[in-house]
Amino acid sequence: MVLGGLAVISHGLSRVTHDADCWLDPTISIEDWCNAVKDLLVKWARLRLVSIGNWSEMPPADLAGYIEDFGVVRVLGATQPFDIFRRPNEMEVSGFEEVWERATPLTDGTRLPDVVDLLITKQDTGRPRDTYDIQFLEGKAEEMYLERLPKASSGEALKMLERFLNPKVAAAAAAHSDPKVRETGMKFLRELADAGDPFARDLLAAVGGA
Amino acid sequence: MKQYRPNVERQKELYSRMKAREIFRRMKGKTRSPDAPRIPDNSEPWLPGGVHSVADALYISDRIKETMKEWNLPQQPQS
Repeated sequence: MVLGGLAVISHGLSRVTHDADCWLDPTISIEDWCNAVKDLLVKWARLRLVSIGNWSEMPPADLAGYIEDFGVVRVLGATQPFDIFRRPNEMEVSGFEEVWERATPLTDGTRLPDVVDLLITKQDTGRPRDTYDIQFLEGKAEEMYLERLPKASSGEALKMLERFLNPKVAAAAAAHSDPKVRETGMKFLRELADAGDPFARDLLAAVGGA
Repeated sequence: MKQYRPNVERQKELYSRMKAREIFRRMKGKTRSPDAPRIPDNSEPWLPGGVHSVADALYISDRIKETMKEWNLPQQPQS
């Protein structure tokens, strides 16, 4: 699964990236997962593993312990630095299948995660540079939700709101025909407004919840 | 004339989105302990130790241009 800058670019944001990130299927055992990475090193002898952060070379034998702790390893020696994730930010190993099913298949056998899943991997990273990616991806998710939500059945709408909810989407939910969906949107807007958020307060007033 | 600085309404919306992300994460039961391991920042510096001269900055600019050419991205306007 393609992640990081390449995935954000694939969703339409014009920006540069220095490296390539991917999520290698983690549903196999950690031993098999590490062997899959080590196979790459055997196939292309110029590739080497590097620990992220201190950028020091890592013996392949140390990979399993390192990946358990940090969830990602860098491969150098290809045309671009290549980060292989077992556990991307905010994702669980057990969530891979679900994310894979929602992702768009690409022609080379990889998949592009959907906007909401990609947005999740960008949240709470503690990296200021992810702010632009978040703004772009959230804008796209919001646009998609505002288009789909009013037409969605109660079940579909509630399922959608379990994955993504922001102020404008909450306002759209608050105007839905189903009372449960309306209550979900209202509750979220009220919580935001009670926290002193003026934008949410205006939205709440507009949907008659003030 | 194009307005480059986000207006007050836009700033309010961005703030609201940020608060909404925090609340939504909390609703999903996602709270992070300060001791929990965090994935390290995978941004590799272009130059170890940072930029110390115009030549260093030009070196980075040239690498970006090469990458953009490689990925077939439109060149940024020259200033």
